[in-house]
Amino acid sequence: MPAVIRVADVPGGGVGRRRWADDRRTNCFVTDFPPDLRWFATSVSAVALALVFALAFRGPLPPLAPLVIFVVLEVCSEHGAVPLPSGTLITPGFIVAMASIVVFREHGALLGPLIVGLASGLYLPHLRRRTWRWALLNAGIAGCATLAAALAYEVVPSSVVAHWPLSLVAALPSAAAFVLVESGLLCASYALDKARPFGEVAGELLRVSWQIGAFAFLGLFLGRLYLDVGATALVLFVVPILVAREMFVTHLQVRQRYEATLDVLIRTLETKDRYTAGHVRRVARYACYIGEELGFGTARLERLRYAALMHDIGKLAVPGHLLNKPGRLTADEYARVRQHEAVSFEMLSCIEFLRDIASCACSDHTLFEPGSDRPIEPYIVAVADAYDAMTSTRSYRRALPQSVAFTELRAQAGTQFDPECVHALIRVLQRRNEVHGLGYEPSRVEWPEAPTAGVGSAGLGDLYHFGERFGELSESAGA
Amino acid sequence: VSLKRGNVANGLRPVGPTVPEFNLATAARVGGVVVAFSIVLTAAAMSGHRGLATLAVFATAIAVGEIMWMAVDEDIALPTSFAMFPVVAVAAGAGAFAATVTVGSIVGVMLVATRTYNRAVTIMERLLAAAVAFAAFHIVLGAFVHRNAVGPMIVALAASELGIFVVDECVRAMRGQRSSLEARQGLLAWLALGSSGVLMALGYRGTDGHGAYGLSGVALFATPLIAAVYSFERLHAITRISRQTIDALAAAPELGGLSTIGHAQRVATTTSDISRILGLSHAQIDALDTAARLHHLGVVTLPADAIATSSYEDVAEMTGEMLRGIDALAAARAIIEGDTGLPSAVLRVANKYDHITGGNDRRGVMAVAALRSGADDVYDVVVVEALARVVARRVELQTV
Repeated sequence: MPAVIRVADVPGGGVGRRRWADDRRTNCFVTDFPPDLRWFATSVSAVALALVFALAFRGPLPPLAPLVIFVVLEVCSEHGAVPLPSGTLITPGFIVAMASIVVFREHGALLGPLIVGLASGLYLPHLRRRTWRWALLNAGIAGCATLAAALAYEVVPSSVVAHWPLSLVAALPSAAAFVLVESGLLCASYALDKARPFGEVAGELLRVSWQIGAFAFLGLFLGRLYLDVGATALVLFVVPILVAREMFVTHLQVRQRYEATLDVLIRTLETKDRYTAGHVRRVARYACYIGEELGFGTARLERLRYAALMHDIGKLAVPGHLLNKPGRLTADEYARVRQHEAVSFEMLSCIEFLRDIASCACSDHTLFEPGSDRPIEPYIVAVADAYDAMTSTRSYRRALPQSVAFTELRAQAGTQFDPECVHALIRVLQRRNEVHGLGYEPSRVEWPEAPTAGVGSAGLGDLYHFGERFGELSESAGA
Repeated sequence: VSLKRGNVANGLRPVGPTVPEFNLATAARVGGVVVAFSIVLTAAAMSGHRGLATLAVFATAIAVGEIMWMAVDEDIALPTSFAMFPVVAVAAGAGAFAATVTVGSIVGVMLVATRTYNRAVTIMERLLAAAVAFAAFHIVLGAFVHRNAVGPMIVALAASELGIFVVDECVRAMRGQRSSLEARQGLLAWLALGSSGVLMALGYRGTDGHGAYGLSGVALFATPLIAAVYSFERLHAITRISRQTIDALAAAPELGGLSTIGHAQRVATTTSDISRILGLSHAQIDALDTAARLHHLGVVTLPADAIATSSYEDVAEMTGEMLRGIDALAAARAIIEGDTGLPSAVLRVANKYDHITGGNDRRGVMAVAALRSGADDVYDVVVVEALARVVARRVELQTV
């Protein structure tokens, strides 16, 4: 079960259930415990422990063999959180807890599940770092929630439990009880820790709690299978899940390596064309802003981002001395530089999932055509590209102020740019209070010899649409 | 500037013969199968043939499983229908089993949209696997006294899955394909398929009169397998994107006119031919293939006037510099920079061979002679002799 989980913005996706205290990847292990939370954690775990003693005293005790098996499974599933491609971590712990509720119904109906729930506090990184309070808080929350689910299952009449498939319904009250108790305690601790309003956190958390319902069905079924077939069924069930986990982990690794590959390429590109440092990354960021604003899904956003990151990749194939040539290019040389767009296009076409939007790389194809059925991605990249070209400072000229860039984008909306993309970008930037352009540029690099600015200068590679208008725009901005 | 697609001489790697991609079209096919079979199902259920309705569900599951693959590697994929065979073996007699599996497999195989996929052979292979699964289950179960007990049932079902695995491996060997266990993911895929198959069959039939959940059992216990299939699909997708990006990069020098068209592709073909003769490992062949595609990439960072006079080592050094820091390409980079002994020697020889022949194998014998003489440089003798064999075979093929 997601013991202490974090309500966090998952990059590129919605809100996900995430472990809160342990973020191994970013290494931001919280060791400070605010006083209120310390008090809260102590009382929750004290209540859970008191319940263990009370139930053990009352009896009957749960049978030992299944108890050991489920405790081990619970601890394993806490450690075997599955990282989904969306960036969310889910732990299959509630499946195990629900199965134990079913198995212990006849003997030790409450004590068994409570112990299994408490076992989820045995999280190795917590124990290793001796953050006992986190371990106790996790155990207490999970124990109480599992106990509530067990209580809800005990109320279900035996006639319903014995009837198949009607007994599946019996999982629902348990799931509801678990979600209510777990979310309540989690929200309280989260609100105490981060000083955020309880209701707000609860809303976010409940929105992602639906998966517990599905887990409850699986757990119920697994419990029945354990009663009918024995522990082997559990092993058979867990193997494919572990395989899936392994594959998801490998997926993340391959993805990180792929990102690293792109990173190196972009760096190479920037050493080659030194006037456009950071350009590609900024274009990708603006493109993602527009995509998000237009309601793209995660997969489509990712595709847009990759296309934006690679929209200039063809520059790799253009001789460096042309890209960095100070002074005007001859007509031939200019044609050669422009050829990078065709090369980028070809290279993007090599990559299957970018093939439809390979025209992102090609300024002839990104001119807005009203009513055409072309994909919108190239238009998005065109707007992002143009905006960054106007608002970034190069060694040979200053950036335009943001207001001028906005005016220019608006003026060309409908002719050169897709108006929808233009308005989306302006909306997002204004909402995020992001200002780029004159006065807001990142640090400027001075080059030993500055090339002449103007149409045809390779330094203006990405600016050629504005080449002619740049002078007058700068003047009007100055005035 | 012409923008026609397909100008890239150094195009995509050929897509593996047995790995269909899961996309919208596939999803539509799966949907179609489900709809068609639901009609059969409704008709059967309404006319009171419950048994027939169950078999229709199984046939649907087999057809869907045939369309949804677990992609293990670029050229190895396992259909999820392998997990369904034991379930049907538990549920039906010989006649019903044969009918269900045949209908399901044929429908599924016919709907897979891959050009390089021999449908007739694949159907035969599936039917053979199914027959072995059925026989193995009944023979092993027959050897026990308490046939309905948990232990015997699990052993018999495991034997059934093992039978499928053996048939699949044999067919692979006969087709000259690699074993599915060669890639690490292969074992994992079989584990997921096998355990899910056994679990679904147990959930359907139960043991000793307990836990016979019927179709709902199969459906619920398919969920871990579905999660596994999804994970394989995602991994396959990102691996593909990653490989294609490297291919796109490899095309950069040619597209920029800095290298002769098709050079990288031809060097890759030659290195893979040579490394097979030399018996290099799968990992080495893979790295060498990538190295061959990328070995010329560094030329894009050379100044224009230096390109013509640059040596292989100059370009290799620049390429190595470019690829520094890319973990995924570390092995390929080591080969390009000349740090790996034999694979590096293979790449050097293949590159020189392509420079001499310019892609025309008729000049191959002359090129080999030049390499043997070591007129301008010394090349690894073993590699050059392997190249001689490759050339001899190519010349032979051309004259035939």
